[in-house]
Amino acid sequence: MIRKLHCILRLNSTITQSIYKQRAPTLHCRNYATNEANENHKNDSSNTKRGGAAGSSKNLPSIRNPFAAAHEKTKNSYLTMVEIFEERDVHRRNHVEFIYAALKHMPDFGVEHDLEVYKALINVMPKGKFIPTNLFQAEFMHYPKQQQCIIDLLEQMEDYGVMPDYEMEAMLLNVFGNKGHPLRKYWRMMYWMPKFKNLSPWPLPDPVPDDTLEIAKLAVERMCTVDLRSKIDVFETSEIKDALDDTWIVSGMSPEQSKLMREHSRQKALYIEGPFNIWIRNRRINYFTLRADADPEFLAQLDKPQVDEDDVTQIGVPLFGRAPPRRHNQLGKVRSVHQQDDGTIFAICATGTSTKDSLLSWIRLLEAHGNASLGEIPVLFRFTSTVPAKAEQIEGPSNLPAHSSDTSSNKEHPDSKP
Amino acid sequence: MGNSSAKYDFETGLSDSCWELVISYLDVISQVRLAQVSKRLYSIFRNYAKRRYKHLDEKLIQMLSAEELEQLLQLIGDQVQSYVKYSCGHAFEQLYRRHFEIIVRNCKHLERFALYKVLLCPELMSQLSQLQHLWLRIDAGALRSRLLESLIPLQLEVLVLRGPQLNAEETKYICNITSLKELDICCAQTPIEQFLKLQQLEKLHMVMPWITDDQFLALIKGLQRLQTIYVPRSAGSKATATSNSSVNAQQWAEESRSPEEASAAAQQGLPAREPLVKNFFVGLADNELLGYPEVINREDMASLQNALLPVKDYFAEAPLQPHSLENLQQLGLYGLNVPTDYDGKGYAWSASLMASEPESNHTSLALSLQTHRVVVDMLRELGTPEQQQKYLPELGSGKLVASDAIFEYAPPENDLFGTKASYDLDKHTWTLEGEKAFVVMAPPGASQLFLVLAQTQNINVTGELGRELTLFLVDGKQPGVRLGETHATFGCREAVMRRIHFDQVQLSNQQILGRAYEGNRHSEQLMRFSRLRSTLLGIGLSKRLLNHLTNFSVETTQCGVQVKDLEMTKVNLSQAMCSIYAMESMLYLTAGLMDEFNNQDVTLETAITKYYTLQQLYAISTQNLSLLGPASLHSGQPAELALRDSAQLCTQGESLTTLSMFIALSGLQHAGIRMNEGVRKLRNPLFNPGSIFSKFLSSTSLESPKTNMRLAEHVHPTLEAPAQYIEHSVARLNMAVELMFTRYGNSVVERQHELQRLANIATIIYAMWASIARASRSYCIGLPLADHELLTATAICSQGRDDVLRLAMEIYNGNYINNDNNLLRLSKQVAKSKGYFAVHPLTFNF
Repeated sequence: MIRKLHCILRLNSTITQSIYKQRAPTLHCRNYATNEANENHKNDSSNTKRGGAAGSSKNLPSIRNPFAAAHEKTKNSYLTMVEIFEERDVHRRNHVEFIYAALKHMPDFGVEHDLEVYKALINVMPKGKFIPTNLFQAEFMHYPKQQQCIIDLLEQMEDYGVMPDYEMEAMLLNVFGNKGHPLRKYWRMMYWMPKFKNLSPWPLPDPVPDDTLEIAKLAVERMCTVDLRSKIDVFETSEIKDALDDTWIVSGMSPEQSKLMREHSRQKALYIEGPFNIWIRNRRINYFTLRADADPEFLAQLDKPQVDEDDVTQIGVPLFGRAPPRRHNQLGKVRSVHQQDDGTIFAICATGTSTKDSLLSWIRLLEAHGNASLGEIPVLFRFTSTVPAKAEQIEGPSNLPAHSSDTSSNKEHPDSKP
Repeated sequence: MGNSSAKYDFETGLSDSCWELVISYLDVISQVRLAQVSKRLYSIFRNYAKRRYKHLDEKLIQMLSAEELEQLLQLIGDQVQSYVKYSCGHAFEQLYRRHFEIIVRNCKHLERFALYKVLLCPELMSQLSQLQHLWLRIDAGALRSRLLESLIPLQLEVLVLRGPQLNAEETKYICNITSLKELDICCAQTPIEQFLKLQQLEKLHMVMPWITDDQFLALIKGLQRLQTIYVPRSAGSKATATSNSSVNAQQWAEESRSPEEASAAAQQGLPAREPLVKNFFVGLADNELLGYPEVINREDMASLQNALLPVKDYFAEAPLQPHSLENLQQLGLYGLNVPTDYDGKGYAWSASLMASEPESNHTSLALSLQTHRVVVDMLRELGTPEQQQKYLPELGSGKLVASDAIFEYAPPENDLFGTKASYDLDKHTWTLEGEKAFVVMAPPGASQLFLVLAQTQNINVTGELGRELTLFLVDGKQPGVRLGETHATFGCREAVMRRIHFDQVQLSNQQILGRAYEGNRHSEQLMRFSRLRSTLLGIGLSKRLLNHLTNFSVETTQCGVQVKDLEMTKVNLSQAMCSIYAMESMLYLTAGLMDEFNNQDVTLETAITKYYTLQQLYAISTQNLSLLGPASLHSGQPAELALRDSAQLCTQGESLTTLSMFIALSGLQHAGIRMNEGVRKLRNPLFNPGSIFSKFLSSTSLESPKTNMRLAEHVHPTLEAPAQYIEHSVARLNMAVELMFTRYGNSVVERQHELQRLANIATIIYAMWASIARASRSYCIGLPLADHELLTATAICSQGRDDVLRLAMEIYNGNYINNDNNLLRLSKQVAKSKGYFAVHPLTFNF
C-alpha cells in the first residue's frame, strides 16, 4: 500500500519546479550533515589527543573510543571491537559516532585497504529502519546523519582506492533502500572506479612487495620503459674486489645507451647525479643517473630537418630489402630518446645503500659488463644532497636508502674519481 | 528493263555532290565496288578519294585485305601521297609484302611511306621516284643493304629506320642521300666524315654506342643546318637527351664513359624503349608493347622444340628418381644460356626459359639449375673475356656448377653483409673473410663456383661513403673455403643448402666480377636475373598444383555430386587458372622485352613477375588445404610436398614484403624525377594558385578517369573493354602516386603500407597488360582454345580493375578512413607489451 502511494506521488511530482524545490533543501541537509560530521571529527580528534580517556568528552557522553585504547593493533582486534559493539545492546546506540571513530583509526590498524572491514562497519547499521517509505522521505534525505556517515565511509574507501563489491550493494540496499544516497554514491563509484583501476601505464603488482630490492627493481624497470630494449641488471658489489659496502645495485641500461657511450668523446666527463626520488605506491626509492652534458650544436643538427621535403627526385630504393633510412637531417642519424636537451643519459641505478662507494662499484660493474669505454672517460659525482661515503655512516638499521633533505649546500660538489 | 532504268535514274538523277555524300556513308570496300559500276561514278569517287584517301593511315589499311587494297589502289593509286603502317601485326609479313608490291605498282606519286617489317624489293623501291618521307622497320641482311643502296637516287627528305643496327656500309649508303633533312637511325661505328655529307640535315636522331666526344663535337660543327640532335647513350637506357647544338660536354663525357658495357650489349636488338611499368607510375602506357613479343623466329623455334624433345622424354620417364649429374650434363641442362662460342647452347632469355620448362616439374632440381644459370648470366653480362674463357666452357658442360652466395644468417646491424673483403695494396690481392648461408650446393661429383657478394672499403673514399659491395668468383676448392652445416629446409629438400665459411681466402683481381666497389649496381642486375629465373619454378609448381587439383575434383564424388560441379570448386579452379595464365604471360613478356630491345629497363617487370607469381603460388597451394582436407598434409603426399616447396620458394632470396617495397620505391623513384615540378606546386598551393585551380576544375576523378592511351587499338576488338580497364587502372595508379607525393613529399618512403598498396596496383596492372597482350596474339593467330584465353584475360582484367580501384580508393581516403591509423596506434601498445596485450576475456575487475 505504501509502495503504491509512493509511486503515485512520484508520478505526480514530475513538475520540474517541485523537483527543484526539493533539491535545494536536500543540498542544505547534506551540508548540514557534513558540518555535523566535521564536528564529530573534531571531537574525535580531541578525544584521541587526550589519550582516548573514555567518556571524558561532553559531546559524546555515552561512547568510549575503544580504538584509541586498543593495545594490539591488528585486523583481528579491529573486527573483534566491531563485533563487541554490535553485540553490546540491541539498539546499537551511537553507532554513527562509532563508525566515524572506527574509520578514523583504520590506518593505525593497517586495515584501510581492506574491503571486509568496511563491510563490517556498514553491517553495524540496523537493517530496514532507514529505508524511506514515501517520496518525501526519499528525496529529503531520510536519516541524514546516518546516510552521511555511510557516504563518508564510501568516500574514505574511494580515497584509499578500495573498490566495493556487489555484496556491499546488497548491504546498502538493505540499510537505506534503493533510493538512499549512499547507494547512489555506491553506483557512481562502481561506474568510475573500475575504469580508473587499470588505467596506470605502469601497473604495480598487487600486493606491492615489501622488499626494498624488489621495489627498487620495479622503480628502475618503470623508468626504463622509455626504451623498450632496456635491460635491468641486479649486481652485487661483492663482485668488485675492493668494494667497501656489501649491497646490491639495480642498474638499467639499453644497448642504445651502450652505443651512445661508445661514441661518447673520451675527453668529456660523465656525471653521476642524484639522488632523485621515485615513489612506488607509498615507498620512496632514491636513484642516480649516469649522464653527460648535451652537445647543443650536435642536437640542433640532428633536429634540423632535411633541406627540402618537397623534393621527390631523390627517392632511394632498398637493396636486399634493407631500406636505407631516409635522411631526416644532414647527419643521417636519428636522435635517440636518451639524448635530451639537458644531457645524454647513459644509465640509471638504485643501490641498497645509496653511498658513494656503492656508486663507484656501479661504474666498475658497468665497465666490466660490456662498457669498456667507461674506463677511459672521467666520471664525476654531482650530488643534490649529502650522500654518505660508505654504509657505516648511515645511522640506524633502516634499509631504506638515505633521504637527507638538505639540498642547499652540496650542489655542484664534484668529487673526482679515477 | 525496269532494273536498268532504275539504275539509270539513280545515276543521272542525283547530282555529283549527292553521290559524294552517298559514297561517304559507305565503307571502303563498297565504295570501290560502286566506283566500278560506271565511268561517272568512278570519276566522282576519284574526286572524293582525292580528299579522303590522299593519306592512307593505319586504321584504313587494317580494314582491307590485299585484294581489296589492290582494287582501291588501282582506282586511285596515283593520287595517294602517303601510306603509313607503323604497328606490327602477327604473321602478316607475306601479306604486307604483297601490299608493298601493289603500292609500288599503283602509287607513282607517293611522298610519305611507312611500313613495319617488310621484305621489300629494292628494285621496286626505286620506282617511287617522288618519295620524300620513309619510315621502315627491317631486319639486317643483304636485302637491307641493297634496299638502302636503291634509296640513293631518290630525293628523300626524312628517313627513319628501325631495326637492328646498321653496319658501316649501310650507313655509307644513307650518307649518300644528300637531300636528307631528318634522319633517325641506329648504327655501328662509322667515320663521322660520312655524315658531314648530309649538309641539308636539320634533325638527327642517332644511336651510335661508341661515339666519342670529339666525334660528337665534329658532328655539331660540321652540320651547319642542324637544329636538333638526339644521341642517347645506348648502354644505360636512362634516356639522356642532349638537345640543341649547345651540348653540355661534361654530361656527354659521362654518358660515353662505359664503352665495355656498351660492347657487351647484345649486338642485335632494337634500341631500348621507355620502361613499361615504371611509366605506369607516371600515367603513360607504351601501347606498342601490347604486341606480344615474338623473339624466337620460326626456324629457331623449330630447332628449339627438337632439342627439347629428349629433355622432355627424360623427365617424363623418370619422374621422381634422383637425377644423376651425368644425366643432367648429357642433357645439356647446364649450358642452356652459355654462348655458343663456349660450347653452350647460346639461348637468349626467352629460349633458355622455354628450354628449362621441362625440368621445372622437379622444383628442387630446377632451383639448383636456375641458381647456376643466374651466375652464368652474370658472367655473360659482366665477365671479362678471360673470365668467360676460364669459366664458361666448364660451366656449360656441367663440370663446374655455380651458385650465388649472397644472403647471411645474421646480417650485421649497420652493414648489408658481414662478409668482408679487404685489399692488400702491396700484393694486389683480396682477403675474404666471413660466412654466407642458404647456398645451394652442386650435386655430388661436380666442383663448385660461388658468386660471393662481399662488403669492401673503397680505398679512395674514406668513411661510410666508401663502403661498397664487390662481387667475387670464388672457387670451391680454394684454400680457406669451408662448407658449413646443412640447412634443414622446409621444402625443396633435394636441393641441399649449406653455410659456407670463408677463412682468409686469398683472391686475385681477376676473380672480381664486374668492377670492384660497383657491387650495388651489379647486384641489382643479379637480382633481376634471379627474379626472372625463379619465377619459372613458381609457374611450374602452380601448374602442377592446378592439374592435381583438377584431377581430384573430376575424380571425386561427394554425396552424389562431383566436386568439380560445386560452385566453390569451379571458382577456385578458375582463379588458379587466371593466376597462372597471368604469371606465364608476364614471364615471357618480360623475357621478350629483354631479348627484343637492347638494355631495356626491366627492373620492375622482373620484380613484379616474381612478386605476383609467389603471391599467387602461395594462394593456390593453400587453397589445396581446404579442398583436399587433411589428406593434403599427409607426409609424402604431392599436395604436401608442393605446399612445402611453395613456402620455401616464398622465402628464397627476397621475401614478398621486400619485393613489394622494391617495386613501389623503384616506381616512385622514376615518377619522382618526372613529376617533381607538379608535386612542388601542389605541395605549396598558396604560391601556385593557378595550378590548384586547374586541378579543381579538371573533371577527371578516381572513379571515372579520363584517358587517351588508345590501348584498345592495339588488341583484338573483343578485348576493347579490358584494354579500357587497363587505361583506367594506369590513370588511377598515376593519381595515387601524385596524391601520395602531394601528401607526404619525400617522406613517402616511410609510408610502407601505402607503398605496398602501390606495389599491388602496379603488379595487377602488369598482369592485366601481359594477359591481354598474350590473349590478343593467341586469338589473332588462332591458337588452340584461344577463345578461352580471351575469357581468361577478360576475367583477369575485370578482377584487376576492381582491385586497383579498391586499392587506389584506400590510398585516396587516407589513413583515417582506411584503418591504417588504428593499426599504427595499436602497434605501439603491442611493442610496449612485447606481444599480445589483452587480458583473458573472462577476467573480473572487481
